[in-house]
Parts: sequence; structure tokens; C-alpha cells
Amino acid sequence: MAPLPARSGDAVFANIEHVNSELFTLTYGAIVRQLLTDLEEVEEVNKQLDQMGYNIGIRLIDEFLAKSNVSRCVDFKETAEVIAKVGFKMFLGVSATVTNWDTEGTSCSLVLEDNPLVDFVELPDTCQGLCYCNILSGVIRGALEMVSMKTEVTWVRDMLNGDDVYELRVKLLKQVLEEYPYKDDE
Amino acid sequence: MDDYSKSCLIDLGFQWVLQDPKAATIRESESGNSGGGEEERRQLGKMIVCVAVVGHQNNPVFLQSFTDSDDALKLHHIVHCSLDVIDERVNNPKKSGPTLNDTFLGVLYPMDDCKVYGYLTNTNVKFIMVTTEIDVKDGDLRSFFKDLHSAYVDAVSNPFHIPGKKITSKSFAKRVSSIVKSFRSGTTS
Repeated sequence: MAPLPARSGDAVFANIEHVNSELFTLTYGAIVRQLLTDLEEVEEVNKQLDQMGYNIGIRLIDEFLAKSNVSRCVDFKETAEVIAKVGFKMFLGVSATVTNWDTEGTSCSLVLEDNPLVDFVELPDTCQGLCYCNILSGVIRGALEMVSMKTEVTWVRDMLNGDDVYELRVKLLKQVLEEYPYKDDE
Repeated sequence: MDDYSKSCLIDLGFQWVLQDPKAATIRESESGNSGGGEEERRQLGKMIVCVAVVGHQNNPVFLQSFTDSDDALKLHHIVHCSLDVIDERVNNPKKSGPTLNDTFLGVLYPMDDCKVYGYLTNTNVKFIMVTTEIDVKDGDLRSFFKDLHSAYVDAVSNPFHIPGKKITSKSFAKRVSSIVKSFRSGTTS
């Protein structure tokens, strides 16, 4: 199963429109700087980035499913693989690896060695505790919520704080089955 | 550090140099390229002594010296004086057609024991290099300044860097040190 998402990820990335990565990086940097100036609190900025990511994710999932032609995932393991190989590759141009599955298969780590959002960035001392890429956790959370999975996404390792890779912990909280909006007796 | 030099530098706006007198020594130990004792200096007679980046309003953006701190003040003075030479060259081009972009200004100021080289970008950011090297090839210099320029561009692309303020990025300082080291090893071989 592993090679199939990887190959289709590369294929989708080759066919999709590309944007200059420096433009993308500088735009994201400007957003974070402006949020810091407006909100001044690092925790507030983290929350706001997560919220922005969530709003992006709930819309991004449709584009992803339309353009990538992946079939329905059987379980959460496959979902994680698809996110790492196809999703990240399609939108960021880098693919992630899935590691550290827990025993129940509901929680895993996505490891990114290269992250285009943080090119040229060095966190100053006043911004320790800032999750610079928090938008990514919001995107994943929002996208998965639209396909009936409630998840919790947190950052475990961050290169801007001195670690060697970026690691996101994705935990499946529950699968919300689709509810029929109308009551039967009406 | 005599008082006359101190007052000159304060007048010229280099106050920040004097406020943290340990800055030169700290940078020197970080760069790992320090001149060391007297013997080493005699052996490594030809080397880059200092690298400076000055903004378009002639504000100091980055300054790193690679020798003992006693000379640091003198070096800063030299750098500041060479800014005048740059302004002269820019306002009165000697030849009719100087290179239009990324003007490599060449030797600005030959002194008794060292030379000052300058490099001007389109945005009027100046890179100044003071070296005791007697014979430097033009090609080496140009590639040195090109590497410096690309390191500068990466440092300035940091969203947390405020344009016009000093570059506080440690990775920029490290890159400058490695560029200086490779320049030294390239020419002394």
C-alpha cells in the first residue's frame, strides 16, 4: 500500500499548478508577523493560526479529493498515509513520513524533514513558544473533520526550536458517522 | 581605546559599538576565526580582518571583526571612512560606463597594511571588507562578495528581521565566518 500513495502523490504534484515557493514563504512570514503585531501574545497567535488553518482545511479537502482521485480509505492508517504522501506533496511539495503508531492505531506521527513555510526563518528570543507552522495542524484538523473524523493535532518537534525534524502528532478522537439531518417523523 | 577615537565614533553614529564593549570579543569567539596570540598573527599575516554590511542610510547593519578586539575600534573607523569613498565613487563615476548592477567597487582605500574593498547592491546596501592580504585575485573577491550577498538576502528574508535594524541572526554570522574561512583557504593555498 505504501508505494501507491507515494507514486500518485508525485503524479498529482506534477500535474497541479505551481507557485513560487519564495512567494509562498514570504507571504506566510508576513501573515505571522502581522498576527504577532496585532495580537502580541504568542498563545493567541498560535490559536489564531490554528483557526485559520481550520478554515483553510474545511475548504481544502474538497479540492484535494477532486484533484487527487484517491479512493475511499479503509482505516485511519491509510488516511494518515494518504495525508502524508499525497496531501503534503500536493500542497507543500514535500512528502512526510508516518511513524510512531500507537497500539490501537488511532494516533500517529507525521514527520517532515523539509518545510517550505520556514525557509529563512529564525525565531527571535521574544517569540519562544510560538508554533510557527501551527496553520498546518489546523488544516489537517479541518480537512479530517469534513470527512467525519474528529482529530486532535499537536506539534511534537519543531526545527525552529532546535529539533532536527518537524513532527506532528495526529490523534483520532472519534469517527462521527454522518447524521441524517431530517427527523423521520416529519 | 582612547577618548578621541571614542568621541569620533559617537559623532559618527557608531554608539552601539561602545555600549557593549564586549561585543567584539563575543563575536570573535563565536566566529571561531580569531587571530589568537601574537605568533598566529605573524603567521597568518594575510587574512580578512573585518566584514561589514552598511544599509542604504549609512546605518551599520552588521559588523564582524576577525582579529583581537583592540583593533576593533580602528576597524570600525576605517569602515566608516570608506563609506565616504563609496559615496564619492557613486556620485562621480570616473568611466562613462560602469557596470550597472551589483557594482563591485574594487579597492576603496589602500592603506599601509591593509586594503578595503567595497561592493554596492542596487538597493544601496554596501558590503565592506578589510583585508591584510596583499595580492587578491579579482575573481576571488567577486565570488566572495556574491556569497556574502546571497547570505545577506537570506538573512533579510527572515520575517522577524526588521529592515534597517541590525542583523541579529546567528546563522548569518556563521555563514559569514564560513565564507571568510573558505576565502582564506582558497587564496593561501
